[in-house]
Amino acid sequence: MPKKFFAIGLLVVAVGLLSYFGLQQATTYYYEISDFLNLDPPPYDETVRINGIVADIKRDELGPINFKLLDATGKEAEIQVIYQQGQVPDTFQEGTSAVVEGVYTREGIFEAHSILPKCASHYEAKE
Amino acid sequence: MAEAGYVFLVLTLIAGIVAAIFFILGKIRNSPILLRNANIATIALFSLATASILVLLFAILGHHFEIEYVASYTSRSTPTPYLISALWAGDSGSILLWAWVLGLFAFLCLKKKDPYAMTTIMVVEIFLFMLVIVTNPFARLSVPLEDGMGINPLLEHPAMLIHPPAILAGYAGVTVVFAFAISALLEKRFDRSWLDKSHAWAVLSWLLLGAGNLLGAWWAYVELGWGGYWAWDPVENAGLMPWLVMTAFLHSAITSRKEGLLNSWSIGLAITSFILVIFGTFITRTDILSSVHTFGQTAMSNYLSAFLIISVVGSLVLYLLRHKDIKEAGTIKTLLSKEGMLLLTNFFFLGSALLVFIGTIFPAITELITGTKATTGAEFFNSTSVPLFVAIILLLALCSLVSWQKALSGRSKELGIAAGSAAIITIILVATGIGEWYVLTASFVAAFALIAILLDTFRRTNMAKRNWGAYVIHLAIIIMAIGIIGSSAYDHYTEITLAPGESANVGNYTLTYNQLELQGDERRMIIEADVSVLSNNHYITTLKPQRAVQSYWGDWVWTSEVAIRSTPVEDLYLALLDWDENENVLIGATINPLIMWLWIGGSIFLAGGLLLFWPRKG
Repeated sequence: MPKKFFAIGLLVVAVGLLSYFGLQQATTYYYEISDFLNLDPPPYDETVRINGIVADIKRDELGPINFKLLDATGKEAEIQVIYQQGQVPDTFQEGTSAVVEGVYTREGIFEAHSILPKCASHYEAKE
Repeated sequence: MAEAGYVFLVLTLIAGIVAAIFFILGKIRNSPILLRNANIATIALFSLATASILVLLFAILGHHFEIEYVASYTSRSTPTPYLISALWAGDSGSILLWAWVLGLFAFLCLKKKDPYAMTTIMVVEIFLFMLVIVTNPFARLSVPLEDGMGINPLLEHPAMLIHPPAILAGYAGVTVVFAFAISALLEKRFDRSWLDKSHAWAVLSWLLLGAGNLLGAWWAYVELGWGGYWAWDPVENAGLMPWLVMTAFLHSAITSRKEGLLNSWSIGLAITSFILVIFGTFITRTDILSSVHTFGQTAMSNYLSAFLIISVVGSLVLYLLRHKDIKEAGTIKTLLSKEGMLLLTNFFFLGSALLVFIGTIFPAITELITGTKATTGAEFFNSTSVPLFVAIILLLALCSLVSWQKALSGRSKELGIAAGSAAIITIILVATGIGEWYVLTASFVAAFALIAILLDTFRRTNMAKRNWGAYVIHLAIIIMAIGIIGSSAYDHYTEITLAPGESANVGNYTLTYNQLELQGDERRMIIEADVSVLSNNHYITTLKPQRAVQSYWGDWVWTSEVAIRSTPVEDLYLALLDWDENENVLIGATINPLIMWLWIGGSIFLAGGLLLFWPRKG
C-alpha cells in the first residue's frame, strides 16, 4: 500500500520540518549546577538553563529577587542568581529544586530571565 | 491496620494473576467454567482493591501517623476534603487510585464477555499493583509521629480534589480501550465490534483527560500566581499527549464505525494512547528528563521502564504481525470528503502529539547524542503546535460542510457566507489596530469555523441529542481557541511599587493601594494588600492580593493568593510580591485579554461531552 506509506511519510516530514525550525529558535543548553561550574571556560553571555537547589531567597527593597542556587549536597557548587522580574510561581521555595534560565555574567552572577521551579506534586524532604 | 492494608494489596495482586490466567486459559480452551472463575477472580480483585484503598482512606481520616504515607501528606489540622485528596497526593497512593479505578472498569467490562481484553486489563492491573506494593503506602515509620507533615499548601485548592482523579481515571479508561484493541488483534476480529465495545470508554477517558488538563491549567492560573496557565512542563505534556491521541482516535473510530475505513489507524491510535499513558507515568517518576515537575526518582522507575518497554515492544510486534489481516472497506478517494477530512484531523492531532513528544524527550535525546542536555522552551511548543491547531480548526470548519464519500459540493453558499463574514471580522480587527499576522490568521480561522458550524447547525433541525454533543464540543474548542489566542498573544505584565495611598496606571485601570493588612490563625499568616481599581475614573472593585506563609516540612512556605477581576474582555490579575517596613508594596499586575473564554469554552466542552452520553433512541 504505497498510498499509506506516502501519507505516513508526509506526516513524518511535516513533523520533522516543524520541529527542526522550532528547535532552531528554541534550544537552550541545560546543565546541573556542578557540571556548569566545571565548564572551562564557562559559557558567558549565552542563554543557558541550570538546575539546582534554591537557597537564601532575598529581595532587594521591593526590587529584584536574589537567591543562591546550590548543588544537591548544598556544599560543592553555588551560584548567585538575580532575577529582575519579581513574579515567580509559588512553587519557588527555599530547599526545592528549580531550573533557572538566563545568562552567566563575567562577574560570576547569573542573571535569570525565567525561573522554572519544581512543581508541586509533592516535595520530598531534603536530607 | 497497616498490615491489613498491605495484606489486601498482596491479595489483590494474587486475584489479578489468577484472573489473567483464567481468562486466557478459558479463552484458549474455550472453557465456560474457567471463564466463570475468571469473572469471580475479577470481582474479588475489585473488592480487595476497594478494601485496600478504604484501609488507606481510614488510616488517613483516623490520623494514623505511624504510617509514613499518612504522616507525609496529612496532619491533624488538614481540612477533611484535603485529607481525602491525600489519597492521591503521593506516588503510591496515586497509582493505587489508578489501579482501583481500572479494577472498577474491569468489573464493569465483564458483561462485554471479551476474555482477551480482560486478560490485557488484568496484566496492567498486575503491573500497577506490583508498583503499589513496591512503594507500599502502608509502610510504617520506625518512630510514629505525634502529628503529620500536612498537605503541601499549594495543593489546597478545589481543583486538586478533581484534577488528579480525573487524569488517573482517564488513564484507566485509555487502558480499557487499549485492551479491546489488543483483543481485536489477538482474535483477528477486525469488524466494528471492538470499537462498539470500547466507544463509551474512549469518550469517557477522553473527557476525563480533557477535564483533568483544563482543571490543571485553571489551578496553575489561580493558585501558582505567575499569571499563566500552561508551561509545557513534562507533567502537563504527559496529560496532554494521550488526550491528543485519543482525540485522533475518536475521529478515526467514527470513520471506522460508519464507513469501515481507517481500521488499522484506529487500532494503532488506541495502542499509542496507552503507551503514552505509561510513558507519562514513567517520565514523571524518573530523573531522565530532569523535569521541573516530577515525583522524583523512586523505586518505581525500574518497574515502569521495564513495563514501558514490554508494552511498546509487545503491542508493536502484535500490531505488525496482524497488520496485514486488517481489512478496510475501501480507500479514501478524496481528502475533500468527510472521511478524508477525518483522516487529516487524525494526522494533525497525531502530528501535534508527536511534536509535544519530541519537545518533551528532547533533553534526553541530546544528552544521548552529544553528552549535554539541551532543552526546548515554551517557544518550541508554541511555534510548532499553534500552526497545527489553526489547521485543525480550519478543518473543523470545512468538515461541517462536506459529506461522506463526496467531495465538497452544493455547499459553496455556506462556505462563501462563512469566509466572507470571517474576512469582515478580520478587517474590523485590523481596523482596531491588531497587526500581528498570526493573530489575524488565527482570528480569521476561528471566526470562519464558528460561523460554518453555526450555519451547519441551523440546517440540521432534527438532530439526535447525542449528535449535538459533537457540535457543542467543536464550538467549545473554538471558544477556547479565542481565549488562548487573546491571552497568549496580548498578555501584559508590569510591576509597580506603591506607597500607601499612591496610585498607578495599568492598562485602562488605575490602581490605588490603600493599606496592608495582617491576618492569621494558628495554621497560617496572611498579608493582604488592599487595592482599589478604577477605570475611567469610575470605581470598579477592590482587589486584595495576598501572600500567605505557613510551616511545611519544617520550612516556611510562602504562597500567593492572587486577586483576579475577570470580565469577558480581560482579566486583571494582581499578585502581592513584596512589601517593606513602611508598608510600601510591590505588586505584579498581569492583563490577560479574553482568557475568560478559555474557562467558558472549557465548561461548554465538558457539557458537550456529557451530551455524548445521551441514551440512544430505542
